[in-house]
Amino acid sequence: MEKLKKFSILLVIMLGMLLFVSQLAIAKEQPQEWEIINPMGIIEVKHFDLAKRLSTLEGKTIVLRWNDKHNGNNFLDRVAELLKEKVPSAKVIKLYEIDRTTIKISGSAQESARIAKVIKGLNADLVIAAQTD
Amino acid sequence: MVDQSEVEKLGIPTVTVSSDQFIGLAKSTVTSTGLPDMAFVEAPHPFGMIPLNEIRAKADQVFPEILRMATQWKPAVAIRAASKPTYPAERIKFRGTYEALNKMFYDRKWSLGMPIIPPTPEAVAAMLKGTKHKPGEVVWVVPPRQGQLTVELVATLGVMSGCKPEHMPLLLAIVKAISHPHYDWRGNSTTTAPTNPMIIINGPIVKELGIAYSTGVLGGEQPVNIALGYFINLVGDIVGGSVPPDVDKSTQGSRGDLVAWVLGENEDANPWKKSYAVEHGFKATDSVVTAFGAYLGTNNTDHTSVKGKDLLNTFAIGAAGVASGIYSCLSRYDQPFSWLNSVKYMYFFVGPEHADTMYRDFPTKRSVQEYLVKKIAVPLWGYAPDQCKIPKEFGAYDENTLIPRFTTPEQIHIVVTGGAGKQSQIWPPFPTGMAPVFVVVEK
Repeated sequence: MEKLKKFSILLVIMLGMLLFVSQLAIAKEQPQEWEIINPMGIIEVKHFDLAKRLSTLEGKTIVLRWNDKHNGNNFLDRVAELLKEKVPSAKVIKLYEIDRTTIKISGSAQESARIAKVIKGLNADLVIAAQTD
Repeated sequence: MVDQSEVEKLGIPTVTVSSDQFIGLAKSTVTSTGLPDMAFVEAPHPFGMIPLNEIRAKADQVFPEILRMATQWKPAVAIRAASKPTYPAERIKFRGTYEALNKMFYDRKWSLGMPIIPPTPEAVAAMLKGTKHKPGEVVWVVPPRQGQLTVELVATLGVMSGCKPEHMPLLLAIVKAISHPHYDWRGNSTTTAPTNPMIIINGPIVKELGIAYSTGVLGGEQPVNIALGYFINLVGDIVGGSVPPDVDKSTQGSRGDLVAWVLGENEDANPWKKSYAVEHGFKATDSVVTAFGAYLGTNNTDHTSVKGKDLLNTFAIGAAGVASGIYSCLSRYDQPFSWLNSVKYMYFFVGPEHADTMYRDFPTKRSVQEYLVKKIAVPLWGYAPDQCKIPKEFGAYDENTLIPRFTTPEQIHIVVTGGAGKQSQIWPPFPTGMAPVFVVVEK
């Protein structure tokens, strides 16, 4: 009698396990074939060449450009001092001191182009910019 | 970076000094402007909010590298990939479970990590039936990645976010609004600040599409608003590439980076009758999208003010503090952003009960605006250094003098939204946004 009782309990457990495993099999998602559209979007950029590089700063006009972020001007002020020490023949222009309309994060392509033209008008040979935060 | 790119295009070489925390953003911006590379000098972060002696020491530290980059740097030879057509978008075959598909999307930076609805060609074709625009039309080149967003991709991202074909005109209007220069998407999507798109919808489309405008309007379980908000951030992160940590530089960010804020105005509950859109010159029959890049706002929970003036006073004190540290005093709406003209307007999402209380003593919205513009003021000591320059005509002042943030009533925007309760929200804009952008939804 005791043996039969044990067998019955074992049978119930086994049946339960079988049911559990079969339910798991049902829940498991089968791989399928998908066709989907790449959502990234193509980058189509008009390519430009970089400006010709300099081999020396002697006698060059160097424009320092600040975008209004805190301390960028203080950083460039020190760069100006160091340039005068190391390259005394260079002309250093602090753009932010001669044209305050350029002290900004330009925010638009048109404004960036305008600032670039201001720099071009100064006959700059090189621009050193502080892009800081 | 765009400035230096323009300088290079004019034939002048540049050297850009960037902090090491922002070099990734700087480099990705360069390539998006069409230049293959640029001369960078990487300096230890931070530059801002440190004493003068420390910033000068950083200049000393990197100066030899500045000289080297100015005279010896040679750009790497650029490999220009053959251009692919913008339309039709690439079709991909994938075998796997839905879970595996979502993982593949996330791994390729095609999702924000939350489940998406698979953009199958059939689902996208169904979405495209919601518009007369041609699928190959490019509606926006999305910064900073400069990905080309076609109408087909608007439909694709709409499917992914749970939008329906009838939402297409609204999706296109939203894209038109957030791509407007006055919005400054590039600045909003790459800043360290927690900025998110804020979209306000007015007109018949609100009820036609089931856009939420009452109880819990900015909360969960608002499927249309949430699908629209999810769509916006899919556009920004996938096509625009503003993904943390290298490009989206949000210091903490907010969950609005996942689902942008979208609300309808509760026009029926507006005691001033004219809807926000009508107030701005549109017809009541127009469906209108208003968009601005928003900083995180705050809440006004005033349960006890019976008089309109008392209620507006608690609004004013709440508004005085939002966007602290970045706003300037006496801001001018008609002038562009500068540190002295920063955060130059404010949105008040007024609950209907608060609106009724205001209306009792302020029968026009204009009178509310006029009161608030004078009352939203901060003691001079509360403004960040160098962000409040007081003109001579202001008169005598000291550090405790209350200085208004705004100068004209038009800087105060009032939208009635939400359901029952004594709650309203106050939302400031990201500083470089010129003004909110209004777009009529095409019929």
